[in-house]
Amino acid sequence: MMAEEIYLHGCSPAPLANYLKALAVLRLVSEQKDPEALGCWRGEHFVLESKLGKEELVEFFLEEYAPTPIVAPWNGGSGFFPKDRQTGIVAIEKSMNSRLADYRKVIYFCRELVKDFCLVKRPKDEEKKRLFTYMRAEGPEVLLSWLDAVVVLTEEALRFPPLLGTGGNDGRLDFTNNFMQHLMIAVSLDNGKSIPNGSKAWLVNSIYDLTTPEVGVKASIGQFNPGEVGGPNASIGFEGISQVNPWDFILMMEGSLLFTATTTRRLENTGTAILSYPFTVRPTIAGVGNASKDDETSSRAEIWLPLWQQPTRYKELHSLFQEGRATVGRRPAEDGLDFVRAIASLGVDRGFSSFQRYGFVKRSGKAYLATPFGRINVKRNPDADLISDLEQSGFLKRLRMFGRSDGSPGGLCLLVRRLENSMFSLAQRFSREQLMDILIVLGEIQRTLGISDKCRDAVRPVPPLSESWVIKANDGSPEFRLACSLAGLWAKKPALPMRVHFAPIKANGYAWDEESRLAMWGEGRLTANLVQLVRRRLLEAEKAEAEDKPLAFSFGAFESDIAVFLAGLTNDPKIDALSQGLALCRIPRKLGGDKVREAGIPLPSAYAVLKPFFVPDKVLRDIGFLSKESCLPLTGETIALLASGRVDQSIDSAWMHLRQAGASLPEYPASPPAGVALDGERLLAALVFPLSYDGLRKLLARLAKSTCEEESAITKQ
Amino acid sequence: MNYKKFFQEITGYEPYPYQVELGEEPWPDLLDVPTGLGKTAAVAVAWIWKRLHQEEFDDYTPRRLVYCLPMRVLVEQTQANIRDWLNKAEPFFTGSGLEDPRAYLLMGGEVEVEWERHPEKAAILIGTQDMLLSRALNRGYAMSRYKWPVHFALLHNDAFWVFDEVQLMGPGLASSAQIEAFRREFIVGKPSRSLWVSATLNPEWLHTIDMRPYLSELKALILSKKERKERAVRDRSEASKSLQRFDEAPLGKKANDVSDFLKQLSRVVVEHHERHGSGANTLVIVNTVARAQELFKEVLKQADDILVMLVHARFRAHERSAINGKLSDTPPDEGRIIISTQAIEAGVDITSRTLFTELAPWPSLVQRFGRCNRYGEHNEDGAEIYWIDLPDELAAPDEDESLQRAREKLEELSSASPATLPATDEARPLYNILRKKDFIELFNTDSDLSGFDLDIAPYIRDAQNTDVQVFWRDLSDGFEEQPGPLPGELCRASLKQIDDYNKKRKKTAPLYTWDVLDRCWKRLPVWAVRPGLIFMLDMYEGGYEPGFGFYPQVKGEVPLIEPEADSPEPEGNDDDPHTQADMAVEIETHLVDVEDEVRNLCDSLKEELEEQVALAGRWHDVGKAHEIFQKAAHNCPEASEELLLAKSPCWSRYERRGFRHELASMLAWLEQQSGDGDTDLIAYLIAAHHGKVRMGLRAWPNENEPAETDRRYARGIWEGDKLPGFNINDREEVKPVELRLDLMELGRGAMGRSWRERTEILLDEHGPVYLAWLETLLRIADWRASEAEEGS
Repeated sequence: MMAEEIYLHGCSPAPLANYLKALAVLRLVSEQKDPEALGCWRGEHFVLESKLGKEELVEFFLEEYAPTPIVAPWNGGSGFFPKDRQTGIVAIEKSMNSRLADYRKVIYFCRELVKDFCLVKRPKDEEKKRLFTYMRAEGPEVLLSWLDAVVVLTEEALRFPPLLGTGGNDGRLDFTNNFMQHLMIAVSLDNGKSIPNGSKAWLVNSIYDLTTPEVGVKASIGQFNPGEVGGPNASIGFEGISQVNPWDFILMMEGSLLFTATTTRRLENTGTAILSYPFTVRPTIAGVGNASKDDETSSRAEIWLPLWQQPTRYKELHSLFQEGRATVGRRPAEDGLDFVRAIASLGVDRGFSSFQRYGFVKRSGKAYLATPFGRINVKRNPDADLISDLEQSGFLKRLRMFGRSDGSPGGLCLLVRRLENSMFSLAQRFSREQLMDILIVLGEIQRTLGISDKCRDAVRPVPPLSESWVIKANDGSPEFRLACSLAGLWAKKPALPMRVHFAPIKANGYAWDEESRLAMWGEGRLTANLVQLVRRRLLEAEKAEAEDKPLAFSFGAFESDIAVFLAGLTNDPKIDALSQGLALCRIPRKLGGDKVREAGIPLPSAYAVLKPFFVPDKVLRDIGFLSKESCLPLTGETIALLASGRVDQSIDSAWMHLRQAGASLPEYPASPPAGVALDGERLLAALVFPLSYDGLRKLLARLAKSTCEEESAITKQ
Repeated sequence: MNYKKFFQEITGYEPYPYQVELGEEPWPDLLDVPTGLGKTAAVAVAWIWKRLHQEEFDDYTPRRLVYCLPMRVLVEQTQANIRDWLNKAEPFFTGSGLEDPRAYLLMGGEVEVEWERHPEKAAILIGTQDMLLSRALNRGYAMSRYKWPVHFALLHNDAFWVFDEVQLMGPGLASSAQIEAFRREFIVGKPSRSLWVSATLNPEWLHTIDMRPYLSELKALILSKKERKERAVRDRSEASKSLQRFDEAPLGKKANDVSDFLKQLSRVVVEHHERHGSGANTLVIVNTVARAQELFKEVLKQADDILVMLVHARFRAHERSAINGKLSDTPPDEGRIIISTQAIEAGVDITSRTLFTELAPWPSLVQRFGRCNRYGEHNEDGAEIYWIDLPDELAAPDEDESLQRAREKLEELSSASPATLPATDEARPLYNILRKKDFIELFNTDSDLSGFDLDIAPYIRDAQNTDVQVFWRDLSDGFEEQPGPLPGELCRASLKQIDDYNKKRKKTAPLYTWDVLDRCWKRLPVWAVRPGLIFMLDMYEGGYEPGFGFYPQVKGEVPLIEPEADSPEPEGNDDDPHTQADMAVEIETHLVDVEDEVRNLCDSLKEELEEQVALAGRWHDVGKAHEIFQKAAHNCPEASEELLLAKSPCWSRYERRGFRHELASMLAWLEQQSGDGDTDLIAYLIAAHHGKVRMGLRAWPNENEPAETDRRYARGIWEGDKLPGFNINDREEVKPVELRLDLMELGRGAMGRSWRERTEILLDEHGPVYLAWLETLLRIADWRASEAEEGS
């Protein structure tokens, strides 16, 4: 028989209830009518491909569908105890319909069990566990899928997958009893084929979204469909009057059976069993636009429901759902941020095209509502792999945990959230801005952590990040290159990587250094900080009797970058913030990417005269500016002169020292260039930025033939 | 020769009638015989006889006798006996032109595997329930995960399971019943059967949901009335054991009371032994290790020339097996005093003249009583049992009720002779039961990539395992480089003992644990200690004495156990054992060899030729023609550039991490088929021939990725990779092919059904037992052909 495609317009990815309906239709048709049936998502709808036509599908549900026995004798209100509402359960027990034979068998089994256990009200704790263990051990085969979907038996206790509340109920709403009551309304209970009034209209409405004059019955659908739950103003909690289509409720429950959990454990015997519920992770508000921190704490979990476009058999889906695979590297995703990273690294099964994300958020009173948090497309995004650098030594996990703990400073908490949100967007789609923002936030986090003892105890410093961060974040701006050049400052003896100035950390190894004297970077102007920086480094070098200036560098900026900075045309706060983030990375020698052209703005000769004093002698020798034996030490005096604005004096002194060192300087004019109109502090700051080898070579070559005319022309710019 | 004679020849004893029945009649399903009447011999010798005379019996006696025991010590004893009988039986086999069966051991620290290559040879596997049941659940402990399906297949096809001492098996017993029931439902390659053996078999125990329909058909063999009246039986079942309460000193609840009590007890024990104990054992069983250790110290102080032994479970395996060895020695003239915990209850075949025991749950007490005058050897001079009452405070939290019941029983009794002991009325504890659904799910052995697997422990053993394991090393040169523990080094300890260990050292002694994900030793904070972990401790921090076991308060150096041999590296995902050979082997040669070997193997199994397996054999390594494989194989002049090699004397790493040639073979096979009949089955067998590509098809996290982000890839195969064409001798032409990977995505794609859908259908159709059997035949043929190639 030809397979027929049917669009189920009533089954959409959102709300959750509609998604579950789609799974229910595929499952029930496959199990009870056509094992070859296929299903997939097209646009916002589910498509069923089976031997059933549109009408036949309706007939199947009305006339043949045998409901899955769904019971919860461990719940109060389940229908098994004297005080419970019994209409549904009794109706099924008394019915003659062969479609309910399994159901009756299961109810009988449970009734006997309740008797054996001498229960008159819902069992608690140990008793409940015993009851459940017994059901799992002795219950009819048809009961098992439901049991595995609703409760997980672990060595210690029972656990409840959040999709079905806490064991098939949510607060006082018992899903199973409701299910039976809805069956009573929608499915014929006698042995004939008579169809209850309105059932067909409800069904057609439920699966095809064809509106009919009939209205739903009074009942609640609970967490699955926020739109239809009576809100807090309409009534009290979910006991409010909502109009529910009985078929909606029935199919929603039937669909939930695809989510069966398993206990897993590390085989190597290193941990106790852990639980995995399919596609279910801890809640996080990362990537949720308007959510607040409270939403996170009041959430029960998140569930990420897969959508797929290729027609697929139920059996295959079932096994993939059961595994519910979402891994980041080699570990399972633990929360929403992990999940989006799992998607970006194809740590989810191939063939899922997107995921609809839901959070179970407490919204009105006690009820949890499955709130849609957006749709994420599955696409390999290699750039998201960068984030794994942050997982070294468990940094990211610890930071995020600490950021949520009561003890963490408010500022840090905000930073962690900003970081999470940026990472979430980065995992979905790469953008330079996003990555740059992550770097900046990390820099701030490092500083914030470094300030307090408590933070330092709780979280280690940011682990070393790879060069890729730098190369990928490069936006080609002078600010970026300047920040990068600054972040790449280093010295071997004494070891002075740039990051030690931003936060109290050890120069070697990634650990906090409570006694750090090097972490001098303050909140003030960038230029002021740079002045302090060079002073501090010089002091350290003197103390250690270093042979060379403590200003070695990995990456040098363009001449024009420094020129723009010197002219005060750069965005200094950006340089400041970025360099703190970049200092966490390994700085490459070249930024690569598109060839950025030098802007062609030259530096003044005054700068050129002073610059050699800010470049390690080794570099000067390498480029042939200094002979092997000679050196050009940077002295405190030069710094003091510049810092106090006596620019000319410092140039004169530099000129003299250059001549003494045998540097090639022009014969005429015999006097050094003038430093007029140059701000001392800014000039000093500009001198701290490393200049590329190439730039340095050109600059110093020009020095040899510089003229006064050039000079004044430039300073006017 | 008739069976009686044969039995006598092999064992040196004249058989009891029940033993004769076992050898001459069809197999029963239950064997209910008191301890000490030669159950193991009854079963093993009957199996040997029936293997020798298979054609004279209507019921089939499977080739592999799987002797499953609840504890290690039992395995050690049993194997010694069985090996002895097999040796004696050897001439009979050779005389009949049959290969004589071998015995293999499967227990923690000692897993023999040679049997896995010879499904056609009769063999006896003797093992612990952990080792054997985990294999029966396709999650074998202490073995490469890639071989799980092989052991699974061999333990469900042509396997005769004997479960002995079932009363000690806990949840394993229920699982054994469930598994037998499943096998009766699934298609199998070769029939298997089960036999449950116990001194106190309660058929109720097999009353699991899926076994229930078969219960009425189960045949039990029990002792006849006549047999029960025989002297040897009566000596045991009516062995006299006077039972009285130990009243010399009450055991108080406070620490001081306890140590006073132990002093009193030790005095009485030593005096008693001096009076009655010559040439015999005096056994004292207490409920905790700490009390056993303290009592041991006290007794040592008082007993001058008497051998005193301490037995409990907190010894390193190395010392434990030495102790077990010594226990089975005959006591010296002046006798022995053995101080023990419940570790001695089952397992060790030991007897005593006098038994002192603390109050314990009834089933446990029955076991303990069995250690006194076990064979009726003291019927003449009288054996005595003293039971020591326990204050409620010293009872385990969930035990007070069952202790009370036991106390009531004891107070009524003045003799503990087996015939007079009331049966246990303790209900079978409620265990997690393995359902068919679970069993089928276990067929999938794909790693979920994060190192997690389905937890089978609750189906094998009592879940309440709150122990950790520890071992000691010299850490003065750092802890980072330490190799993992050897089986003999490991010592079990309770969480409480670890806690004491930490407290005694003011929490400064480090506990190192192996981090699986980071693959390094890490210091674990004290609060993070949890059951199941393995800790490396510093030998200079103490905590252990060889004669004493784990003992938190003892300082001093812990002597190290020297490794005997280097343990082999575990097999990784990229590894291809057998690919590196002494000489180059061409693909087509190897393909033909394996196909032929499949046919040989089926022949020797008297199996209808499994044409699908043979075809899978012909294709299994076609994917080795892949460029990545050939590059890795051509790494020296001996590997001629001209040839497509299956094996090579020189080997380099694959350029792509995680490369799996069998996936390429399978894809090439599919491309050349029209897709009907057994195409998918053969594809599965090809893919599964290393156990690394089975139910699912996924990329691994550390794989090299193609630059194009939308190009599919998995296990080192990239979509669009090309395989050259070649001839498999004159048997078949493999056409050049471009590999597609659409089937790794779910649902119907350009290649039709997805891989997952295909494998799910196969599993449905053939069932786990048969599918694994076919899979295993190919793998074994591949191993053997490779071995032969290496040898030639």
